Amino acid sequence: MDKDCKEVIYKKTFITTAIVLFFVIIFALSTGRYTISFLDTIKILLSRIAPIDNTWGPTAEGVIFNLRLPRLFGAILIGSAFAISGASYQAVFKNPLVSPDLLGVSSGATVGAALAIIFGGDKLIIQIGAFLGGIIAVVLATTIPKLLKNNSIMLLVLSGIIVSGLMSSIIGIIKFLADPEDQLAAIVYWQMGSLAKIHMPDIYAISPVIAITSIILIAVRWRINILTLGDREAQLLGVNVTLLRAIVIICATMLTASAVSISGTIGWLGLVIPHLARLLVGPDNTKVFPISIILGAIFLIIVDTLARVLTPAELPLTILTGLIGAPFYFWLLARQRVRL
Amino acid sequence: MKKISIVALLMGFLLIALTGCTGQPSADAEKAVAFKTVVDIMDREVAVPKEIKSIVVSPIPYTSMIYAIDGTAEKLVAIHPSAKNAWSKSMLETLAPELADVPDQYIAQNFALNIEEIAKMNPDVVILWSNQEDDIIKLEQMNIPVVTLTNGGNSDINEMRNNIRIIGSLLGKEVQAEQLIQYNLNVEEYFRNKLDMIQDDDKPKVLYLRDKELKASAGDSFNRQMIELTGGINVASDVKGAWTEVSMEQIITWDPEIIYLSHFDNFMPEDLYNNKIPGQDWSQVTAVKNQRVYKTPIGIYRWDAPNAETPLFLKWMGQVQHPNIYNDYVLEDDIRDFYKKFFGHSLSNQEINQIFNR
Amino acid sequence: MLLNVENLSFFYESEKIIFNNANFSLDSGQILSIIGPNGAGKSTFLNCIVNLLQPKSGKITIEEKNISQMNAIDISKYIGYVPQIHIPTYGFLVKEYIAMGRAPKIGLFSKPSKEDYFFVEKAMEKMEISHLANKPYTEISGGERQKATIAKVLVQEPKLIILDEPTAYLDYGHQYKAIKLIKTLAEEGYAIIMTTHQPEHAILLENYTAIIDGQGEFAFGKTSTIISESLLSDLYKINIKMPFIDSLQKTIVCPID
Repeated sequence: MDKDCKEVIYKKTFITTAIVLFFVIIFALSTGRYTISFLDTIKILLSRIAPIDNTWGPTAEGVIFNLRLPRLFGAILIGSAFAISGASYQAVFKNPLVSPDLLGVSSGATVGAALAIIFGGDKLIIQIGAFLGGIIAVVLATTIPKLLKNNSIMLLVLSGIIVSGLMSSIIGIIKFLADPEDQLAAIVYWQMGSLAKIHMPDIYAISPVIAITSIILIAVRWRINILTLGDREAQLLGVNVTLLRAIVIICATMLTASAVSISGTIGWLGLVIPHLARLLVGPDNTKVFPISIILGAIFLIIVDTLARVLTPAELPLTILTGLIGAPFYFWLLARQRVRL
Repeated sequence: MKKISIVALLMGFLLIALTGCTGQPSADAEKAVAFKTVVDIMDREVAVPKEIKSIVVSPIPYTSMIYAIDGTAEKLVAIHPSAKNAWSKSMLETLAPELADVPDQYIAQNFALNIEEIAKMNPDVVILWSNQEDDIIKLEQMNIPVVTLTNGGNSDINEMRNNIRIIGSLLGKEVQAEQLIQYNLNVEEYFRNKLDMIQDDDKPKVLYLRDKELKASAGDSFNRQMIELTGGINVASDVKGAWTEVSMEQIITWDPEIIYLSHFDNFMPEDLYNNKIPGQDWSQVTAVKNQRVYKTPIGIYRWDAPNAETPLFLKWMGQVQHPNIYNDYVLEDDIRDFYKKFFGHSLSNQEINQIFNR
Repeated sequence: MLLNVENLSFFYESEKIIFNNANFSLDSGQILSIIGPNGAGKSTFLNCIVNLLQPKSGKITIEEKNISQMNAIDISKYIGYVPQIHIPTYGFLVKEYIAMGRAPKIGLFSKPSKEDYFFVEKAMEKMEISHLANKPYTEISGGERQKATIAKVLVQEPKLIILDEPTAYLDYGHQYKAIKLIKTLAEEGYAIIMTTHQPEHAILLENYTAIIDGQGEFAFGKTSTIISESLLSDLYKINIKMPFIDSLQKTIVCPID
């Protein structure tokens, strides 16, 4: 019994979180400023596959299918993308403190996206711009410790701060130069994070990238465990460290960039969710990755629902993720007594 | 030794800085010729040159307002970038082409001034919103006269008339200002008198949108007052602020019958009819289903904000909301008369179309 | 012959030679202890053997195959490496940690199977750490960690096990147990290369000893013939005596003033 207890915990956690995700989805679809009852929500959803009399009218149907469903898909994709990319960065840099925000990937991607907006790029160009910005940021953040010949966790964190700072300044410049009547609002939207503008074409645009990179990361997730032992040990276990690390960083950066390209920066998710997953199922990434995906989706659906419902206006997501994430992270650190 | 030289250097800089400062007022004293006193909206008594030759104007609509009162924009030496943007889309480009070369880079989007650049221009007067307290203090310290006006977005029509009066006395154009005010009063009177004729049930639910981000004219807005004065119900009146962002679901819940799209954004009724804005679904909104989405006209300025043409704005809204009640004037004729009377300009048909975004 | 080293030389800058013309071979069941002062280049030498560093000259072969032409997976099938004890960032369970030793045998997109965990259980039994299987690796003692690391190397099924200072950071008793364990592993047929700061350990393990003296010299020979009072005194720059204690039937190493 004792031997398998972790496996049992993992299976239980997986099933529980999956059930929670299901109910959160239904709850999110039936909640909003426009009132649609829980029962009607389920009827409307089922009406697409079963013959049910339309008692709710076209408005409710429009709200569900055109407003709430794209955001729900967006929340699932983006929440899990940030979570799994955070888990990957934390493994590959052997450091539980890194995240897409901390490495400057998010702000780098925002710079890329903002530049693409300034030059009038379409969705694809914005996505590519976000990816290039993210890659440049991660390369910068990991090069600074190498230049200073110091591989401590602290220095990686500090160089992340340097890169984020630089990127936010560049965003500042871009905002200053942006056309206030048209582009500025779009860039501010990117900076604060929101799912308010997501519609189905966005979902179609990012889901292949998110699916492929997630599948690759999930496929190599046991090998990523070995990377956490250190380059030397991993290589002596027959792991092609340089290649594997490159694959993981590229995939994680593409995930962050794809998410950023349609939702803007959403802080805290990539940091907190993998921590929570490890707290539940231990550090083994074969378990952490699937749980992170589910938890990331749950967390962002809840946060986005709050953003829609709390006020007549839309609240920026980063405000809410920060309000929830910061105390939550403190609690996690206190529980885990993390060494630095 | 080294320390002493650094101290000496610092003293030197200090000296230069001090003499630089003392140099300023003497230059002003030379300039001082004849002064008059203007009382601004904060009841400040401001001494300004009797004949104003150069004006920096930060409030966006007052670039066009000064033209409307003064008959020229030649005295403006620095304006807000958004005013410049509006100019290029409006009738003002035809009426006041001289604004083409007036710089707009010394005033930030948030109305803050680049004080040093303004000081370099040494204008006769700077016009600010009354809530720009920091800039008022800084300019006073530089001995540059400041005249303040009540902020447009959440003022009322009466405060706007006071603003017009202040500009009139500043420019010595009291007569023209009074005529504008009188026209304004007459139109308001007209609408107030007719308001009793409209039952609450007959009032349409109106949403006034500033931009694609769904900023709506909320409880404290000027536009709410205009909507109500012309017999409409502003759906966003319970929301705090002047222009406040609301969500799509909230709009669907309100289900407005009429939607106005401001000129602060380039969106058009077709964008709503064809559901072109990402993340929004207009298909089930009554105003869209009935094709009752209207782009606000732009005269010498965007009619969305309090400005010289606000009476025309009221007349336009009135006929959109209650064509049967406000049926005793012909809007286009009134616009032509207004332009003839106040700007001395006969509008061509093409220009009328431009005003109506046609 | 399992491992053959010919004319191996290494230096970072041409003036500072780490070792020059190292020659030796090692067969299954044989132990090579490497001694030398701090910073002499023992770890550099190990890095050359496992192909993490490119030697400046010379050739290393494993079962007649040139190591410089083998990739990481091929090498990991022959050589298992026990690094100095360090605490990794994440607290993997001991069994998960040991299972990572199966990496060379597990495909890029797979994870350990039931069969792999069978190897893990056998290795834990052998190292007498089965009771730690579900404990986080970060929360066990130094001696236990070393046993877990050796178990991880055992599941890798190598022919040559390299240990970098296996006795460092261990208390006196655990040091001795580690030496006995290494002897047992050699008896089971593994070839062993280890570095140590304690000449006694080399003497206890008998077999072969190599000396890297920090002046660029590399000496190799039977432990019993190569380790002498004069050599150790020169190597560590202190006066060392090696009396044979009749009552114990053992040679001891003893620094004297």
